[in-house]
Amino acid sequence: MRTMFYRRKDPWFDLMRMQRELDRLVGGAASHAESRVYPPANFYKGEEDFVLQVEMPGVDPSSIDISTQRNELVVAGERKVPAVPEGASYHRRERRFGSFSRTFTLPETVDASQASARYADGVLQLRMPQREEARPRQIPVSA
Amino acid sequence: MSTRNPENKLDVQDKRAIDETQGETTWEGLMFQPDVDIYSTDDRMVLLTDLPGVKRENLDIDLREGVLTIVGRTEDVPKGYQPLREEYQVGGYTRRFTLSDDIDADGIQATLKDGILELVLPRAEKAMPRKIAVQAG
Repeated sequence: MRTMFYRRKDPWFDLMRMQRELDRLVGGAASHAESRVYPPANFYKGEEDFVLQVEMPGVDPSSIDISTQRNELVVAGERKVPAVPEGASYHRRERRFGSFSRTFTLPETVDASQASARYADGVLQLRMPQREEARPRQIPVSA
Repeated sequence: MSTRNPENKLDVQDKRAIDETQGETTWEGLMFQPDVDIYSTDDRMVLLTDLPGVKRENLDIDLREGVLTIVGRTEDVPKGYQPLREEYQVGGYTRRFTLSDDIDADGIQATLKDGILELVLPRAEKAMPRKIAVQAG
């Protein structure tokens, strides 16, 4: 099973992989850990904020429950079984349904309490700023 | 980023990547075979498929010579962002179905909502089952 994918042509992916390998060797950050917990998520870091994308198609947006407590973020919802007319017969059934709840523990530098969420095309996107104290700053030297 | 799981009823299904060495491909980049449900009733067939991340303008549904092809494209990693953790692969989706002769191609309806494509394929009038009344002799 492989949930990770690295695009060869993008040097960033190779760098990220090296970083992950190093993390693994020193037994440190769990950044490369694979998860079988639904829903699967990708986590990105930008200049000033972080983006968590959660792939969860077919969830009624009004039923999505997101809560945060310190650096834990909980995403819960349900993939409801579609209503099928009486007497219908299935030829294929590959999709799965049910309720889910997942707790993400985010890095300390992420301010989860300031998260903004948007659900579009079956993907939940959470944007979270970097904590004020984690931002780089210049310290002026007085003469 | 670590994770915990309190009694989830769903688990993660691996995406099935499409092997580009199998036949000709008309697309670039990673493509997956999306999961589908197909059911039928007396008057129609309904196909439901998960296409997370596909916007309406990036979805192509093509029907020719009885073959229905679905191609959906997704957007790449947000620009200027580095991945710290990736649990699912980002790519497009494609799947092909051969329709039976009794489908009324002009009556096909497609709806895309919350990452789910629903295709309603009505059966042609002549193909619908009908009861034949038996006359009393």
